[in-house]
Amino acid sequence: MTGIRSNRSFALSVLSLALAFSGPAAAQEAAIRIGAVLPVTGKESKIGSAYKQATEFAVKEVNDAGGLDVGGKRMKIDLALLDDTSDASRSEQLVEQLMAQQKVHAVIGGYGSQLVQAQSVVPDRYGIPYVSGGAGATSIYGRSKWVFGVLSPVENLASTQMDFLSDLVAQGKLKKPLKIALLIENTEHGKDFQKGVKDYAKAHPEFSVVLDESFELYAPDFKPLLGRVAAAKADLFMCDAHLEDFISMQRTYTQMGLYHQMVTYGARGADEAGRKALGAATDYIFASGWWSDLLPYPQVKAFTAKWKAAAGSAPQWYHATAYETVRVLFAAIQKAGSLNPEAIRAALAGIELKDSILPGGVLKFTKTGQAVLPFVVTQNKPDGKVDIVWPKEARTGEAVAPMPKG
Amino acid sequence: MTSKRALEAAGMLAVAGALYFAPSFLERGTLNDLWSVALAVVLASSWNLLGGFAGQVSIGYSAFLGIGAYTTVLLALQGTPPVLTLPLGALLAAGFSVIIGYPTFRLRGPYFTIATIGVGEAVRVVASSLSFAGGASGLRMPAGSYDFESNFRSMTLLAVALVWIALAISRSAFGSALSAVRQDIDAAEALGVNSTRLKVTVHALSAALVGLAGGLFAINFQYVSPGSVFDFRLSLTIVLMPIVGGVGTVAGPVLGAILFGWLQLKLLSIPALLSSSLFIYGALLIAVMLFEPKGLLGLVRRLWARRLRRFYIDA
Repeated sequence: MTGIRSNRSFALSVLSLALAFSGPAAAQEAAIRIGAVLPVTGKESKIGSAYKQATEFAVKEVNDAGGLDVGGKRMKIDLALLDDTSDASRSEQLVEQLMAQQKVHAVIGGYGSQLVQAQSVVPDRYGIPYVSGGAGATSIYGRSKWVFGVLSPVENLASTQMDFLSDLVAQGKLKKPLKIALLIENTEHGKDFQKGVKDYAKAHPEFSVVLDESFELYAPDFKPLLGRVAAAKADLFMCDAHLEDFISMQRTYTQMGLYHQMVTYGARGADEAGRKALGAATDYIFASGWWSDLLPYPQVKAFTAKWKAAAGSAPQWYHATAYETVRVLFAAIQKAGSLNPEAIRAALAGIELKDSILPGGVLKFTKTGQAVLPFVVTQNKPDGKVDIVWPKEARTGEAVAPMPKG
Repeated sequence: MTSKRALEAAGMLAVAGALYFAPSFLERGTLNDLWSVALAVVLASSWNLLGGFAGQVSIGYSAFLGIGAYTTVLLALQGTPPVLTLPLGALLAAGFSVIIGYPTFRLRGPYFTIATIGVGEAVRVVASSLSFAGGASGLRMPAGSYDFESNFRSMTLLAVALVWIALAISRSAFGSALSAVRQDIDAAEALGVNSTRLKVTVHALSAALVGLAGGLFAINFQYVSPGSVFDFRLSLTIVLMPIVGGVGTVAGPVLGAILFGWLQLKLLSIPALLSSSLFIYGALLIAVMLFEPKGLLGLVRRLWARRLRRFYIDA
């Protein structure tokens, strides 16, 4: 009797829980269903939240203007933005949920190469276009015709920085030969940066890499690693790090009293969060960004002004790339003139967004699906100022090299 | 007794049959949800063999999932058909459980639990630093290795098989010995039970099953990274599911897994509940500890018994 009772009670509880598995309410057919999965909480939340803010801003802008023109019909955007809590497998699950259950017409990908890497396996299964604005690792692209990325390759970021350093040598500001201490996070992002620097150094004998080490993402303590950097007696310190690691490592670097003629953390340096956390310790660091509000395009000025009016602060590179990701997707939907996934994908593959706010002014995708745009190099100056110091034609100030001591 | 077992066997066969044919009549989104719940059932029920039946609370089970997953990806990248990598992943996970089992089972209670946390974290750090394993970025499965329907059938049938394994163990002499170890390890040893060998054996069995699930996880997700398979939060969730459902029982971990699977799949898709999953898990755990130590299954049994009493009294 007890066994039968427990079997019945178990069956009842399973049944009641199974009933809870009802699908979501059907979304309005009159709207364009766009999904987005971002790390709003967890380790990547600082920049993930910024991506969320900019994505919602871009969608609101379009909806406030009456929506998109899709084949002669005005349609509003229905955005389903989900938080993956910076967890790769959850990130993938949520993209799958958006495509399989919420039947979205397209998905805006996340931030962080390791999260986007996980998400990027899903679009091929469902044949739904996917555009990421937050992953520059080249290994993500070229595997699926449905995956597109707005961030230019990290390898190009590194080679742009090396071009900038070569120019400083040509100007006589830095004396050759120059020894580089190279640190990278142990990710595809880091490996691309490492390849960019090392390939350049191989082709340019005035540079040599005297220390080449990797570190764990979100490492708790950088002292031993920076001890080896000090022992390498390099002239230049080049590191590729995420925002959290940049803040933690540069704090330790400063506490240890290290000095190099030039210091970079890849794309990090000019970030508002980093400057707030580190203050003067970020002065003269140079960075290669995917965007800068100092770019001399009218569309950049217009974007910066409307962002400041809406958000109350200056936009950062991640706001701009997130905004542009939404814009390029919407432009492709309008160009496709339908919500057919293949039509949107084909439109994305052939799109040329000619008023882009990103460097170069034109956003388009290569055959692998990744955009390849020029980088700008910025250098932090005292009192929170930043200048574009490379390329020459976009320069807003002179590069200070070598960095002043103390 | 025989009819009860026949009923159970028929029930399990019916569930297995329904799950086997589910891809032909359920839509993909529902199948994805069922796959996730099946994985949760496998993880919770496997953990319950050691944590519930033998009373050894390990918080390092994500290590076994990761070993199975990485074995599958690394071998598949070398050209091995993914399905052939699954037994090896299970074997490696079991082997690793034996290696860590012998020293850690010398510890008791919270000391054993703390040691397993250390093991789990150490495996994650090592995996993050191995270049051939892709470092923190992880690895992707080779193209053409994805077959959802067969993966769905494998994972759901593994879940059903695990319930059957747990049921069989709970009724066996092996299960009685595990129960004796859980209740009083010194008394069990005095009666001739070799507790260390017993714990190592059940640890290896549950690790192998989790390793097997890890291989299926890798094939389904097509991507593994230390952050996704060696995550401490995953290890914690594996422990919470049986505790909330009803630790030490056969049905409890299944109920806990269904509940957690539902929470994970549904609540996370509601923007207002962003990042609240850990809060909800914590609240559930506190509620269970305070009001129903036998878990969800205990609650359901109590309510059902009360209903039956009322029915008979009213009648």
